[in-house]
Amino acid sequence: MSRGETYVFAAYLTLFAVVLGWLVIHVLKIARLSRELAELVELAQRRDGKAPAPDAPQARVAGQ
Amino acid sequence: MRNNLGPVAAVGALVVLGAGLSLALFWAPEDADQGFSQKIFYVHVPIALAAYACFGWGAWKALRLLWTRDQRYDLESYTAVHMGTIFGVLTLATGSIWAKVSWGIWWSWSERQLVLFLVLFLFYSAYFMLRYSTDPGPRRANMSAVYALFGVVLIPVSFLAIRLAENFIHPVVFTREGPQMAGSMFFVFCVCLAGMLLLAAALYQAELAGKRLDARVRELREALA
Repeated sequence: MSRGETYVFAAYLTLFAVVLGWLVIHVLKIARLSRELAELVELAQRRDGKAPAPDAPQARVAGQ
Repeated sequence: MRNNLGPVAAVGALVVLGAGLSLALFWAPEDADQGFSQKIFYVHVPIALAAYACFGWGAWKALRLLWTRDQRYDLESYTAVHMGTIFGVLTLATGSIWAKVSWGIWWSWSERQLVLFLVLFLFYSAYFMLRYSTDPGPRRANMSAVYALFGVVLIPVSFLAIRLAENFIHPVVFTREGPQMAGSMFFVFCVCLAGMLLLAAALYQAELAGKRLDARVRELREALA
């Protein structure tokens, strides 16, 4: 690989790495929000005296 | 109405940017002066223009906030500045790589174009310090909006810097006579630019959806507390 090709590869790789990094952070954020939402739904249902409905918070998050 | 702009932009970015970068690497002719390393142009310039577009979009949303006092524009302006900063980091990184292979140095303080872009980037980086130094509410939204609007003034200054410079090594590709490159190179550049703008739109929509969801979960937590 020539010197020019190495630097071009590095520039393209930088773009790919930053977008991938952003995607990983975003997926972790969605997972955290999904967990928090599940806790809140459970809390709300406990207050109302109802049994928690399985998969309800996940379905809502996926519908965003 | 359901907002489908995000998924459409994401698929569009994948197809158009993928095609653009493939054309840049395997089809576009090599530059007579710089050779293969000139192909960094097809990512560096569209990334820089996407950063300007994000900052401009953030300023537009800030203006809408100040004009209408509708607080939803605050989150939209903040998200656009956030994305602009990410593209700003990418502009500086890819620009440095190109500078190293072309000029033999990673950075030149004597280049107005580079320094002005750095000033623009640091100005918008300080936006986050301002935003998180005040409590959430209309006061913070207004302060952030005014700051984002001030920053947009730096965009044309940064863009025109290479034309105002007397001694420069940064190339001027777009002049009054049109683009100074072969037609095939300009076509590939346009495809890459369209792909990069679609990528910026997709990231903006996804980031905005995440931030809105975060805000709603916080509201729900406060309501249940």
